[in-house]
Amino acid sequence: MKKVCIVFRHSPYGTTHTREGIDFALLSASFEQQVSLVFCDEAVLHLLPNQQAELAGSKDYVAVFKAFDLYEIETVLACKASLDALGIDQNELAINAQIVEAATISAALADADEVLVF
Amino acid sequence: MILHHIQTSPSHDNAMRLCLRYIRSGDSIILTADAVNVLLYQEWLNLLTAVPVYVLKDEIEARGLAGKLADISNMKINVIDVDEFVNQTLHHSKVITW
Amino acid sequence: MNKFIVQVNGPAYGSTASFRALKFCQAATSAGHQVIKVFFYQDGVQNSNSLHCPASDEINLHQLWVDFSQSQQVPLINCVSAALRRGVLSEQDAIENSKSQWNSASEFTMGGLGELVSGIEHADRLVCF
Repeated sequence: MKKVCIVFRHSPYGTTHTREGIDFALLSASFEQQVSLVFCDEAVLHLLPNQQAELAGSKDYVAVFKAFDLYEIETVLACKASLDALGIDQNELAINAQIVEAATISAALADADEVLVF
Repeated sequence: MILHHIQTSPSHDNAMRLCLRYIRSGDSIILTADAVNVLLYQEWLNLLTAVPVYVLKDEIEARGLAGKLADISNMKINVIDVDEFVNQTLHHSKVITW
Repeated sequence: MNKFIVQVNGPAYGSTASFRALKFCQAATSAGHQVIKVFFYQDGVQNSNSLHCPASDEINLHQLWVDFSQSQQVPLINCVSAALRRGVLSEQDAIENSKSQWNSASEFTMGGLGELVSGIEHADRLVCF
């Protein structure tokens, strides 16, 4: 078992980076790796409620975010600086993520065996 | 001791900025592909003075930038070949490709 | 001797990520290290397309990967779900999806993301391009 940290940094729907990263995250968790997730930069927009991915031509891959605990993904971090830059308040988030300072994310990156950025 | 691997120019991607937000003392950065352009911007050089920076020789020479980058003397830039890139991935505890 | 897993996310043409990944793999094996597998994900699956026809004076990255794999005995693994979505099919995929043609070279093995997970688990170091 390895500690795998998966970082998302791209906005929803403009690219498929996050979708393919989520596929990897869920698969890693089902293979019993210790998975942690980090949302930073415009990827924090994935955490907002009331999304309708189909209207942008995408599969609704955000729906699965509510099932992270079923996959035993307990650590989901959202970058406070990124949320602040986008004017998002933590009360607005639909997903249960810990809102953390950059130093906490740095520590998560350092703690993992491998880090993959999508 | 993370080796942060940046492949994109800061003028069209936020990888470099994010890397600098989360980088820790002891970490290093390797610039490949268009990320070597980081070294042409004074504003980025100012942010990198305390970070060990590696850059691939072939990428610099491919772009005809060897002469220009030789002028940067206020910081330590390690110009390396791909063999040393392999070594550095092992000298560091992991590689994060942003 | 250390074990690497290398992940390639860039296509054979349109970005140079795959080229650098190949150079890295060649340097690693030349130095006596082992590349346990090369995993092609996202647009990287395009590297397996055997229909690449670059001009005669340009590099054929698809062929260079095949040559590297054969000379160094390094498995090339395509993420099958990423490949299918991008129209990159093996002969078996073509049969299963009722397509009359396929393009992924037989030297590239279609595999699941589990191949990446197990590769990370067994390697000393993951390097992505």
